[in-house]
Amino acid sequence: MSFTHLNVSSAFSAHYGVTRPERLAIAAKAMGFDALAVTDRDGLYGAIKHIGACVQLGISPIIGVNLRVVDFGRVTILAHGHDKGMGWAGLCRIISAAQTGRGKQKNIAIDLKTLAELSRHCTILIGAENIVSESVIINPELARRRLSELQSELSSPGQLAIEVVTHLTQPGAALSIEHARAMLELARTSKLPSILSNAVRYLEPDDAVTADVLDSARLLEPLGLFAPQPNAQAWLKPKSEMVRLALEITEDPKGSIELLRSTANLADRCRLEPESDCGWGKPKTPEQSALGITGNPFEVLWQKTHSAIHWRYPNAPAAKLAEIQHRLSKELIAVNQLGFATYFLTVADVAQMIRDMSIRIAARGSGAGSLINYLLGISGVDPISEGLLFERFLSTERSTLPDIDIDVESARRHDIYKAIFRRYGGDRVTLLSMQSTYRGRGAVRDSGLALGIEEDRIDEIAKNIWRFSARSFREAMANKPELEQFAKQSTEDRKLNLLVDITQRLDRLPRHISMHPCGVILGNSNLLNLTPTEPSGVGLPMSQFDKDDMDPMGFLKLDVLGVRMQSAMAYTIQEIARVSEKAVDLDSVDRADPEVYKTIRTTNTLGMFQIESPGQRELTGKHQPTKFNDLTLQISLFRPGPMKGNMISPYLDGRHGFREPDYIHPDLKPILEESYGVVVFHEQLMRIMQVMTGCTLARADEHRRQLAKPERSVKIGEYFKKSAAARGYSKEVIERVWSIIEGFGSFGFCKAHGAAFALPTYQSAWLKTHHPTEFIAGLLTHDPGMYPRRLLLAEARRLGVKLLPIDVNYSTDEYRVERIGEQIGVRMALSDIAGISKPELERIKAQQPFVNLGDFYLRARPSRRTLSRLALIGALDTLAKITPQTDSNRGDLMVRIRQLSAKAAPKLDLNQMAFDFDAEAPLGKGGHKPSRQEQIEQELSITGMEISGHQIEQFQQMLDEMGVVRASELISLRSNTEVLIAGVRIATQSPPMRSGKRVVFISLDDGSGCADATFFDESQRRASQVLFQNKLLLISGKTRRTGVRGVSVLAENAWDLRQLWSQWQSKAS
Amino acid sequence: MRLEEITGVMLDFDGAPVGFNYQGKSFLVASRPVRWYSRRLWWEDAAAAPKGAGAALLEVEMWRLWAASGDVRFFFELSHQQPDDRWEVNQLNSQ
Repeated sequence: MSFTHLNVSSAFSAHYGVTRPERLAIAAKAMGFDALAVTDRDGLYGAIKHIGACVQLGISPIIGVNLRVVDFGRVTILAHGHDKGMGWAGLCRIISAAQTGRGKQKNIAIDLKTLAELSRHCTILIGAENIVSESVIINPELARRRLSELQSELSSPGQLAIEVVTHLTQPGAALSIEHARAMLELARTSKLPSILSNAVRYLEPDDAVTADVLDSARLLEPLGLFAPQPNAQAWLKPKSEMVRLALEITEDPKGSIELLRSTANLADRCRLEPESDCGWGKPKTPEQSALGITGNPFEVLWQKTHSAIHWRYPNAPAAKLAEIQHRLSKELIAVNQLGFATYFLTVADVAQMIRDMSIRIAARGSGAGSLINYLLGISGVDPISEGLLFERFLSTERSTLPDIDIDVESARRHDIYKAIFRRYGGDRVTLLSMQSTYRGRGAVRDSGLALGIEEDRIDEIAKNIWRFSARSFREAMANKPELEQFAKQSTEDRKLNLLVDITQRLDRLPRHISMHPCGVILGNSNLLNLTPTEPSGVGLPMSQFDKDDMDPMGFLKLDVLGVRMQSAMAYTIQEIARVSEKAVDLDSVDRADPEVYKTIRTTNTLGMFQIESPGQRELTGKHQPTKFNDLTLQISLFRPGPMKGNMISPYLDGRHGFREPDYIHPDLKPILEESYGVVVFHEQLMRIMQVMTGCTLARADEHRRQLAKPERSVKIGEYFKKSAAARGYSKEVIERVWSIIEGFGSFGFCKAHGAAFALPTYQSAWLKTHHPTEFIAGLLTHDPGMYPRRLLLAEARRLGVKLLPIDVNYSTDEYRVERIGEQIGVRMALSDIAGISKPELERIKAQQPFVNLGDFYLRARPSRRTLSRLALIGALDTLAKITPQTDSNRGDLMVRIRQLSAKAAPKLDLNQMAFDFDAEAPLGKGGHKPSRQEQIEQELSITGMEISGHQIEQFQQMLDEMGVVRASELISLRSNTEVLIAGVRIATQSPPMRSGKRVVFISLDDGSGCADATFFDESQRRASQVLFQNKLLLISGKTRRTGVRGVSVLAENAWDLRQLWSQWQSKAS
Repeated sequence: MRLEEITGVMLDFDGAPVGFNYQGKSFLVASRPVRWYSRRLWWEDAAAAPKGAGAALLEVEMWRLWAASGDVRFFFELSHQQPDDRWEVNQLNSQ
């Protein structure tokens, strides 16, 4: 007789279980179990991973859930198997029902009536965490009564079983042998079957320490302030141990065999057959009726794509049309062969719906390589002119649904989700979820909480955890300079040392579930029988499955990613239309506008999609792009792979004529010409394989995918060499090409992806070039980039864009473009004022304009704090009639503000001014007039931006004395000049490097532009105390010219600017 | 509660004690010993808790039994401390 664990919490029981399902399954198999259950708390979060692992290992998966029943406590509900999915569907529906009514407190529970209705094909285990189990030792009669009440609600036989479990705790306590015995006796007198489990939380006893820490994180209490688990017995015990427990509980060999037999019987009943029970692996798309299609979907697809040729390629000559037709036929044949026509129609339907809502849409990823996607309007990049290959996207050699990812305006993303739900119906659609797992910082924080270490101390430690996993904490302590101090302290402080150990234990454990940033699952009307759902942050239901669960379940996942840049561009276009009455069709502007490339080449790329980071800015300076394909190349080259593979310099050398491009063989010249002999793209590799071996492009892509696996790579090498030799290539050529292919695996980039990105890059550059004011307004409103708004203001000043101060009569919640005579400018918004509430904002907007201060106070009803903040940053200057010419100033205004808000605002009555003083009298005189410096400080602290000037100004005297160089002047210095630079930190990056050594890039802004500094080993050590910490920095180093327009500082050391300032001041005084 | 060490513990095949020395006398176990597991508040004194440190960091094996030495018969609760294999008397009651 076999034994099966029927109550097992995996790590996906967040903050409860310790072991990932895959590991549990492998261990179960190794222990000789032929089945294993995973019964996570409140959901099927680990179910698909468990089933997948079981299928692979050849053991039977069993799935259940541990759920709270209203007024009863926790039970474990197991789905029956081999019943065409009825058990699975019941389980899904039970969970969805329990999750739906959970309310704000996340009180997830199912009421008995609903449970009775939905659980006909499930078994409910009454285990150790409910009111029956609670009372069974002290008052068995009460326990029996409670149980029979439950029984009377659940009608079908076999729905209930008693779970007998002991963790060998103190005799007489919960989970003791006596407790288990009492439960067994209860089963006997209630005539219910009983089964043996171990209520497993972890794989091995050693994991119990981790479970303690998870308990602390779940309860949000330090260890020691709550009752901990009784011992370390909740592990996946082998059969021999379970048999021994059965004997100890029953004290009778016959009785123990009975207990084990009924356990085995229930396990058999619950073994799932993934295909028939869960729809495992079968692709599911919406029914044709839901798409509004009649007839054969392939014919519809054929029709739709062919009729779009004239839209995408107007006036194409016959030869071109023939090429298009040929390409389209090839793609359609592949789609038909794979049976994916409905899939493409579904995505096209969604894309069309989005366009009908007047929302900007762009394709992302390999999908841009498909002509079908271009013709269906899913993608905006012409795959033929850009040299993109369909085979990279979809191959007849694979049968999983390809990913078609689309980017939309981020601000409209939720509207789109709601529209998708409306269009296809709530029974066919659900959002995708994702599991966030413990990373370095989160793990340190929760471990610190568990150990009761003060929050400030933990914050300090967490700040220095930079780009490494929790697992390698101790290793990092040994070789990262910023952790040196902490490492030393941990040898003296026991708690800090413990902190490191338990932080490592938490690494990669699931932490919480949240809505996936872009995934929507589109299925048929059976969807909610296949996945449980729960409420998401946006009010729409989301599946409990994550993206890795999609392929196994055959779910169609649509990636609709909200991209802030698309919102910023949409806003820009809207402002151009509103203020200048010009309609810009961004998708059809000339993509070869020399003015646009000229702007890009200045390296002032702030706000341009994908090319605004310090690294990209440096590369832009060296690269000097002149056409669309250059942007594709530049975006593709600035990736970890090409950087590690040292592909950038040979490419640049070829481009600037420092080196004759080496094409190895004339046959490869057409393929490699665009990148001067360097293999950059997957597509180039595929074409090389095709030309030299004669294989198809689809096959070539299969080969490419396998290159990452060393053992497969050898095989492909043999094939490549043999086939290329047979086609007459010389041994030398073959060897050289193969060495490139072999090393290429992890370096290359999908060109379709690069080209899809290059489109919004170009479009944003176009807007910045031709409509800078409106574009700055768009950037400020939708904040799409990596930099803070205050840097965008610096860029606006550099561009000569007029910035209009915050004014309660003109400012709104958006950065609007205003016309002032012949000029236009950007009016700063109210939304960045710290602490301003949404209702306040809406009242101000609705009641504008105001005639005077009293009027504003009465009708906009700002809080006292908001009112004084508005006054401090000058937003009330117009109302208070303060100008540089008047005698009254903001100091006087503050006096009036205090008068106004001394009492609560009188009830709004416009006929009667209810102030007991003259609110409209002119302001007094002689108050403190804030200096320019004070004004900037106020702006910074209230809006996070300096609107009237730059914050570095305050240090100017010291900086001048020290001879600090301004960022804009660096370009005029010779290489290797010793310099000091200072500014506000705007970015810190640490990209992977070829050598494996860490390099840290810090960008400073000093109002004149950005200066980039590079820190290598030595300088990282010297500057370790400020490297990741301070905002205002002074950096010393040497200039390094990196290209025509490129310059950066090779850093030697860095200091905290404020600290220097106070030293300088005390020295000066 | 008195925490006193006992020595010379003899075990059967299941790891259950059958005899030991306590306060200079040798005791023989005179009932079926009952085993249970208690725990330690490791965060209060452990210097480290790396993965693989073992259950000993957290768990303590406990035994309840009657044992006799001559005419003296006591109820003992013993704790078996790991990793140093130390036995302590946790509770003691006479008849």
